Formats: sequence, C-alpha cells, structure tokens
Amino acid sequence: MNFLKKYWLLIFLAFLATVLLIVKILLKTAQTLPVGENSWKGITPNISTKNELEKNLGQPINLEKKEEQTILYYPSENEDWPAEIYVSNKNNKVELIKNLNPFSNENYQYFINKFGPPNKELFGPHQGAGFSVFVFLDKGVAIVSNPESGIVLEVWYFSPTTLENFLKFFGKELTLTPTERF
Amino acid sequence: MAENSSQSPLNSAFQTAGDLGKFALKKGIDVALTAASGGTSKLLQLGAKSIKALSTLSALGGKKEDKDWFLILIGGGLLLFLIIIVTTTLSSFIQEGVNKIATTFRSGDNFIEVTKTVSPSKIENPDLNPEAVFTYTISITAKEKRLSDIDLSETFTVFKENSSRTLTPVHKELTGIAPLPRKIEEIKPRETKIFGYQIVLHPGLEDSVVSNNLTVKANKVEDSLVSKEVKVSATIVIGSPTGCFTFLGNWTEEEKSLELNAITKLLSNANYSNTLCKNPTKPIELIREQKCDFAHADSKNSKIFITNGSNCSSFRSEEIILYTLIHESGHIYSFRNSDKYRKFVNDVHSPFKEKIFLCSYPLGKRIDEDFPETIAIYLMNQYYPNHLWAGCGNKPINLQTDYPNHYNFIINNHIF
Repeated sequence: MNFLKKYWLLIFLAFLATVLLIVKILLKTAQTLPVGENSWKGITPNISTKNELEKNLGQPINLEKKEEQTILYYPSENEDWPAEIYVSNKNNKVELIKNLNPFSNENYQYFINKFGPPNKELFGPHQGAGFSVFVFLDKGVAIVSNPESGIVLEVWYFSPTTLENFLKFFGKELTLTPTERF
Repeated sequence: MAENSSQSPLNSAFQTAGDLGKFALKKGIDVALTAASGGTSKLLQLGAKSIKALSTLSALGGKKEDKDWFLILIGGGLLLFLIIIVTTTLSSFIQEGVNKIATTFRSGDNFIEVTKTVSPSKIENPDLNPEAVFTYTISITAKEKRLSDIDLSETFTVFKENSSRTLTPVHKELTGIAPLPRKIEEIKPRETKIFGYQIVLHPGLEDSVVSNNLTVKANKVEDSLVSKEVKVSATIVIGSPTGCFTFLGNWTEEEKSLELNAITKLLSNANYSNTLCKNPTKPIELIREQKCDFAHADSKNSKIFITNGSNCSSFRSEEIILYTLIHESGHIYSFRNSDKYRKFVNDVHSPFKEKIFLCSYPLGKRIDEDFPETIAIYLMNQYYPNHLWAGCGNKPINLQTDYPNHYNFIINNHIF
C-alpha cells in the first residue's frame, strides 16, 4: 500500500503512456487499412501527394499538364502500357490512378471474390467489344472488364465515393446505359 | 460505320434495274397489245360481219329501236371480251416476271463500269432437281476514255455451311448474244459491250450461295499503260443459306440477295468465319430497319441492324453493304473474342505506339470502333481496293502502307 502511495505518480504516468501507445497503434492501423485495396505501388488517392509519388516511384516517364490535373505516366507491369496517375493542380494530391494492363492475371472473378458484386455497371470506350466499367464505390476500385471472357483491361483506383461523385470526377465519358455502337 | 457520300453505285443499279423493269413492262404491254390487237382485228371482222348480218336483218324488217339495242348489246359484249383478253395476257406476263427474280450487280470506277445480271437469282431447293438453268448477262462500259487490251476472268464459288469451294459449272451459249470472251481488244469511250451465257446447276447445292466473281482488267487506258481493274460478283441464292446469320425484319428478296452476296464474301475467309461463328447456337441476327441512320450492332446480343444509310437515298450499294456487314460483324467478333481485342488494344493503341485511328470511320476516335474498322478496311482492300472513303481525301486507303500497326495486327494474329 505504501508502495502505491509513494509511487502513484509514476504508475499513473506509465498507465497513461500505455494508453497513448495503444491509441497510436490503433490510429495507425486505421490509416493504413485502405492502402491494400485502392492503392497502387503504395500510392493511395486522396492521401498520397505528388512529392510522395516522386519520392516512392521516382520521376515519371512522361507528363501531361491539363487545366485542373496533371497526368504523370509511370512504368507498370506491362511494358507497353504506363500507369496514369492524375494529380490535382490545386493541392498536389493524387486523385485517380489508372493501371492499364490488358494482360493482367487478375480477371473479373478475382475482383468479385475480393470485393463482392460491383455497385454499378457503367458503359464507356470499350463498350462495343463488350467491356463495361464495373465500380466498387466503397472500395475505391473500378475495373474495365468483359465478364464473359473475364478479361480485365484496366483497373482504376480512387478515394471511396458516391456514384454521383464518381461520374462527376472520374467517369465523365461513362454512361449509365449502353449507347448504340455504329 | 462510314459511308461514301461521293459514290452511290446502288442508286445507279436501282435506276438501271428500274429502267430495265420499265422496259420489260413496256415490252410486255406491247406484246400483250399486239396479241390483243391481233385478236381485236379478228373481233372487228366478226363485228363487221355481225353488223352486215344486222343490216340484212334490218332489210328484212323489224323495229329500228330494237335494232339499236341489239347493236349496243353486241358492241358492249365485244368491248368486254377485248378487255378480258388484254388483262389476261398482261397479268400472265407480270406473273412470269415475278416468279423469275433477276438481280443486277454493279461495280465500277472512273474508267470502267461493269454490271452483271443473273436470272433467276433465287431458287428453292427442289428447283435444282433435275437441273436448274441460270442466265448471266454482262455489260462492260468504257466511261470517258478508250480502254484496250482488256483481260476478263471469272470464278465460281459455292458457299455452304460457313465454308466455300470453287465450282466449275456447265456453260451453255445464248442465241443472239456473244459469250464472255477471255480478252477484248478495245472498248471505245461510252461504248458498252454485252455478253451472256447460261450455267446449269444440279442437286447437291441445296442451301448454298453460288457466287460468280468477274474481274475486268484494262491494261491500257487511252495510250497510257496504267492498268485499271474492276471486280463484280453476282450471286445465286439456293434455299436458305445464311451461315451463322439469320434474317429478321422486312427484307425484300433483292435486299436479301445483295446481303447474302456480302455474307458469302465475308464468310469465305475461313479463319474469320470460324472464329466469328464459333457460337453456332446463337446466330447473328441481321435486322432490317427502314431508317435513315447508320447501321449499328448490339454485340452482347449478337444483333446487327441494317438501315438505308445515313443519307437515306436508298438501300446501300454493293460495296457499302459489304463494308457495313464486315464492320458490324467486327463488333460481334470483338465481343466473342476478347483476347483478340485486348491484343489489338495493346498492339495498336498503347501510348508508346502511334495513337492513330483509321480515317474511314467518321463517328469519333474510339478503340472499340477502330477494331471492327480495321477488319473492314483490310477486307475491303481485297475486294474494292479503289474505294474512296469520306474523311480520307481523294486517295483510297492502303492498310498495309498507311496503317502498318493495324495491318500487322491482322497478319500477326491470323484474323483472316
């Protein structure tokens, strides 16, 4: 009892330090959780900045400056296709990553097994060949795929969002229903 | 899909067909009237004799009013009889024309115009037994310049159940019309040479298309040694030979015949045909729509919609029908063969390659349109190398030299 009275301050500080340590660990885990799902080579939309991008991946092989965004091209698994990373000109944050790899081993079923059914099927530039854009909104992932063959042409990574915002920011050229192919 | 606004061979084909129809109808009416007038003179003679008899009757006595009524009755009867003869002769002539469908196929450039008419162009399977005779009439016209040293060659191909083979049918000469020669020395400007012959086909060709492909090559134009070549094909449809295609909607027999001509050309390419038709339980529906629009495809549901064309002047020309069919079938091919499509995406449109789209497709630059367009232009280069495309200037496309990446994709991946 005398021990507790004598060293109560030390014990309190040790307890506080333990609590703070646990809180810090929990917070770190919460922060890194989405990295596995909507990140590419450690780059996560809405979190990673242009500086982090260049620090992790080096200088891009090409760069295309647009009004609101800059597209940086980085080598991908497919030597014919660089990945496209869209960075906001306002805050220098990564907004969208498009990994265009028509020969990826990850097929349609792989993504269904991983994320469950997609939230929405949208129609875009490869629609004439039966490829749609399947969006997993809460995961921050979209794939361009033909479910019958299972082939995935592109994987897009973005910050989890609503369908409305996805169409507004990332899918301006996409439609909710198929358009006639002439 | 694109359409050539500067050329409309089918318009001319239809005009010619229309002119031929008018000519045939006029001829038929002439024949009918001649026959009828022959009959009429006899009837008039008969009438005159009757009147003479009546005069005799009148001389013998009887009331004048009775004689008038008797004359009106006889004259009316004669008129009725005459009408019946004329209409019967005319209707039997028209009926014969309907049963024997002839189709004119046409091709040409600025120097040569070739038409080939086959009659009948469509028969049913039982009509082959014991034999069926078909008449071909060919006209070759030098447009503005003198053509000389002209080579003519033709082949017959049978297309049946998605495969094709050559055919050597028995030929018969036609009386009063020269047979098709192998060579013509000269055709003067605006001169037309006409040839004709018959072939005989026998059982064993049920549900097939017999395609006759004629090549006319003028080795000299005026005094220049620049050769000019025109190909025209004429098809006979026997039974229902549609391969993996099926017709839906309001197709006329002539439209079907023209479309089958294109199907034959398309499916004669074994690799393409086998890959396109590898899902035989789901035929490709060719749906006829009477719309002023571009043709379009629903690749997921294996449907191709064929319209009159965006300018809506008429049904499409032989060349445009083939181009349209190949392009739209290319959409279904890409859907049924995603591995080929992804190879195309990678090999032709990766950012490290030149991002070029074929100039012949007018409705935007899209990879999923560039794929069927590449297939279409590759085949059109084989059949109509001189075809001009709106959007590509005054020079025909040569896929191999103008678009080497597209061409290499076709060759390296054995599309045809």
